[in-house]
Amino acid sequence: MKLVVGVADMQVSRGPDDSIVTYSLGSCIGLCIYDPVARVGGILHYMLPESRISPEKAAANPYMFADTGIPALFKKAYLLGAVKGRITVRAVGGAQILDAAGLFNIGKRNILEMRKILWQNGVMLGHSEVGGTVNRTVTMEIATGEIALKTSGQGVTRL
Amino acid sequence: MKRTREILEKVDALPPFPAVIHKALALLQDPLVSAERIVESVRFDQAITANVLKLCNSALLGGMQRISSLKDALVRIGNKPLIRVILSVGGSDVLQKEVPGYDLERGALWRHSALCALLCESLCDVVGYGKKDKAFTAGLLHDVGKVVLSEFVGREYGKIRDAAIAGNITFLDAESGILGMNHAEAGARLGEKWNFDAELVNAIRHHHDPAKGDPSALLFLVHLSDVLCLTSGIGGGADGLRYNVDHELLKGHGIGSKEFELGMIRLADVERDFRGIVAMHG
Repeated sequence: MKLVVGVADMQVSRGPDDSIVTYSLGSCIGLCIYDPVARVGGILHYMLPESRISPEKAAANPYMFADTGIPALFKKAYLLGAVKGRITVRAVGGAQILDAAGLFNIGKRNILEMRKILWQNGVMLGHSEVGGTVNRTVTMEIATGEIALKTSGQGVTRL
Repeated sequence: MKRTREILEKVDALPPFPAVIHKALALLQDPLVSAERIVESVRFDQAITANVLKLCNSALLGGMQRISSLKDALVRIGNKPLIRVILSVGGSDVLQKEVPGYDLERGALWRHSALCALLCESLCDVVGYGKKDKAFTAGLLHDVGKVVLSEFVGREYGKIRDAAIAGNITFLDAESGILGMNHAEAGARLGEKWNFDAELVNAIRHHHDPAKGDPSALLFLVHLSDVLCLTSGIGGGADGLRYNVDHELLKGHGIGSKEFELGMIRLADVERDFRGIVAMHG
């Protein structure tokens, strides 16, 4: 089954026939985790770095923010049998609009916040495609953990 | 080689704006006219009827009781919202198409347009703009020029992208440089051809460079909503996020970095309601 991750949304699965896809990441990040032994995979599509801008939103939908969404993603994967030491982490997105003054550099801040959280938790970030001004769509096959990255206007590559 | 003339020919060759939309737009200008007239004009159109019902029965409008006719829809949701629904459904004739030049699949431009429209409407309160229906319409139509430019952008995409990156300029300016016209201008020309009013045409023409347009709350709304949609990746295509944001204008309206993030949250709410209703049915 194809599981679609919307904006500020998350899907985790261990169904061998499942694939997880999230479309058109701009400044948002698609954080992809996979345990190759348990064959559990998940994608979080978060919009903003920090939940303190709206704690009530974070309570209603933790997937909107990096600091509430990333822990939720790992917890769900653990529930399905994933083990921290085996999980590989890849990230896609974090692009941004041309913004010389850097006032609305949400892509950059999304990337920084993710690196900070992963580092604090002793998790290595694997191969990632982040930054720039492009839109990206990412698909993960649960059976293999393979990730296809589509960059708008530039076709599909393997991550 | 510049394509200005070919693009203008294409603008001329495009079918007239769907008659339904034109009527809806006219009705929006006149608060006393009821929606019954417009229902009358679309009730024989299967596609429009089906889509209106689908939309009216959606979570977006919080329905408990199913709606099964355009008349029901009118009673349940009232004149103005129904006109809006018809607008967006009818507009999808033009906007729903695949736009390959921008690497937009069928429905993607429409999704961007519809969400931008809903966001424009939602942000009216913030800006103190009273004409919500007009804000919706402007959001819905701001990128209609992409339909015209698609085949030209498709042919010269590599050149446009290279020019944008090499010159560190926006995709919009690269379109102008390579093709002789950008999608905002093409959209404005279409709007003129379709007899949209000056405020609407101005908002379409300058949605990426509002400082060059006539100052207007509507233009600001469309610029802000479009930037929020682009940042959030809503219906993003091959042009990516290579557009400017007008800081001065945003600052003048009290939009700083915090307010911008709150705008993104509001967009997420709008998107959440929209998801699974219209976006995924295509």
